[in-house]
Amino acid sequence: MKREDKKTTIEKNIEGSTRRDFLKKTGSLSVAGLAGVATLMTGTKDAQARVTWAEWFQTNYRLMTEEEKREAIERLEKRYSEEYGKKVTVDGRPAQKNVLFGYALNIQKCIGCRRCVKACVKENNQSRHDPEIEWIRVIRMEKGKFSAEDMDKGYPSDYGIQVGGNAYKNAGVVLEGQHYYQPERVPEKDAFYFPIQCMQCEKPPCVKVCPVRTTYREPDGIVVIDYNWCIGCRMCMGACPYWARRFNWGEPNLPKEEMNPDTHYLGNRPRMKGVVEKCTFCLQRTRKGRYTACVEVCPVGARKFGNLLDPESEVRRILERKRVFRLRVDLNTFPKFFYFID
Amino acid sequence: MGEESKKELTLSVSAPSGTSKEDHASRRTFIKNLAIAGAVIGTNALVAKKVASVVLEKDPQRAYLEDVLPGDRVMMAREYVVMTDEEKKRLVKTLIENYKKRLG
Ligand code: SF4
Ligand code: SF4
Repeated sequence: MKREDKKTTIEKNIEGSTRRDFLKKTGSLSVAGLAGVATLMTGTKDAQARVTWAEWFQTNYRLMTEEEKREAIERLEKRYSEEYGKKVTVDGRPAQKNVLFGYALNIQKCIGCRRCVKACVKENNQSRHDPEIEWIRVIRMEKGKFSAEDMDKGYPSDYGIQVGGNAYKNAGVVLEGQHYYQPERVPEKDAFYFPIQCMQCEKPPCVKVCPVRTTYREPDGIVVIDYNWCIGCRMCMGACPYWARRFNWGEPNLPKEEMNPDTHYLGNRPRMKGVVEKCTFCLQRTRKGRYTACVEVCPVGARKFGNLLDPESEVRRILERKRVFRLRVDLNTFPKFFYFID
Repeated sequence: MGEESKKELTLSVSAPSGTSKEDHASRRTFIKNLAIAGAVIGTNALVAKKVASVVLEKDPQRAYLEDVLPGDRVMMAREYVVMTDEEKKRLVKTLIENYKKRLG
């Protein structure tokens, strides 16, 4: 489509917008505006629209009474089941008591196969195309070279980084487009791999900036989003120092046959255009005592997960016994996702 | 892809009317516009750019990549240090204390 034609289409779309959009653009969500919506919505016989009418007016999930939560979940289960042609469950299970989730990733072991990325997409109902959304990035980096002059500052590791008294310096270079690398074989001789996802910060800057408080930290440490209240302002994306949030630029494309029907309200239930999403440590699984999809699928056991409050958990043992990294310049967000080597 | 969906891709957040899903977009877009105005006035240039570009984006895949790829370079430019045993102990202690405090 030529640029002019595209522009015209956009303009037409804007011109063709409804009274609801008009009222919205005037900047007043007034009684008149709501009346307009009401007329519009009650005028339709579509079951889905009626369900969504209630959704439109539901309050922020964390402020709901138990009864309201139950109703909201029932509405969604009905709508999703109709939409995807199968029985969809939406769990509302709260955080378990005495659990604070933590994650540890062994960068020495990761072979860059990206199975975690695919498993995450499948488990968490991410959009498959236009855009293809992935919550985990596995970045391929070139291995650095050991330089003799750094000899007294530490010792070289396999990863081309200097580890020692004055710590760890990344010698890798990430190349343009390496996010979607597709090597015939992994691991490659001259590369190492660095997976990144939401760090579930203890002090999450994304939460602080959300103007409608729809993203918040749960007692088990997981930072969640109530998609129904997200206004898509992208403030949280700007605030996240780990680039962990994803925005739904288009209506997500989730084929019916690929939709995972075991969902959680605050996790992997289907999202809509214009909202933000991110890793939730698969809370639909982990709150039931299961591992995250990425931990389960990793063929080399590079990914470890557990309860930071339990001294016997794997993640606590790693923190105790392994070489764990932190950013040289402290961002003061207290991530609960750690990188380590043996 | 049908002509209708192609058209829809030409708009960013504010979706055309007529179906239920788009009512979410309506509320979001209203408050979003206010928030964007606030962001542009109240934050630094990088954040304002990240936030404000939402208004004009068209191709979802390209827009998505424009969100994601710059992050790779930022993340990789960062330096990491090995935590000392003392630091690790302190971290665990802080996390546990935080948990207790939050739950009263
Ligand atoms: S995009 Fe959504 S979650 Fe992020 S700050 Fe805006 S309203 Fe909050
Ligand atoms: S990594 Fe980013 S999105 Fe995740 S909790 Fe921290 S600031 Fe928020």
